[in-house]
Amino acid sequence: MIRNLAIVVAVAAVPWFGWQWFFPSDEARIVAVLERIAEGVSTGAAEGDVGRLARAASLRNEFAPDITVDAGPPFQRIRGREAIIGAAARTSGSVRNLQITFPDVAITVAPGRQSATALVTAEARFDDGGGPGIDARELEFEFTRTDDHWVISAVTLVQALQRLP
Amino acid sequence: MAYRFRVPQRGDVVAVQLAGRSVVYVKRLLGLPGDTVSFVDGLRRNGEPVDEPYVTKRAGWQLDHVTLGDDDYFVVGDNRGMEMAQHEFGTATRGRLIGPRIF
Repeated sequence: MIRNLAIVVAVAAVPWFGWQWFFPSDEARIVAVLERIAEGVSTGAAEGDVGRLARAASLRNEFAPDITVDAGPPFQRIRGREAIIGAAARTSGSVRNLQITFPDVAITVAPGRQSATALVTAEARFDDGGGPGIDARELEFEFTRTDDHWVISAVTLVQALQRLP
Repeated sequence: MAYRFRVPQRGDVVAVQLAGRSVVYVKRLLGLPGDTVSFVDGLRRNGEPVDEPYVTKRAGWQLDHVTLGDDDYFVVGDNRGMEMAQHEFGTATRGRLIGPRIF
């Protein structure tokens, strides 16, 4: 009885997983963009410059041309896709073994499904020569759908504390 | 978690969610929504000086009085020996207050 039930559940699940595989939801596609960003910026201790630069350049299609990034100190505000790719390459090149992860992701797709925001915890583990370090901050990613592809149009630091005037 | 069972109170040492679920500031809750706070020879709340025996070092912080909004909780660290600009303090929303320190 239980065996038959398991078979029925498995058979029913196959089309569902197949649908998700071939037609992922907008949320799943946005998570995939974030995963590619994390993978593209992260760098191993033994990785050479060529591989690092190639991976940074591969992120080009994930960004809108006029993207703005304001991730908070020590990073300066950056505007434009080419500037972002250059900054990503420089950052990953200035530290050894940089690992970026986005452990908490909350996605809100706007009605019409042409834009979305993702509230993300960005965690960086790195070794800049002074021993291992960790940085964690909350970022808001704004996404725009372009030619059925989700691209990042803005990244903004979310301030936990608002300073008084 | 504790704030699911009681409301935030002035003087609580609270964890303020900085990023995600596990990265927090630990600060002292010194003002609730509607309070007026300022720093003039120490903290003043609603015009009255506040006795803060837990503050052992004070730089001469100056902050004009500010009335907190409907969802503004004023949090400051106890270590105030540095310049005001060097200290992370301000208002946090209720949703970022995880709860008081238990031990």
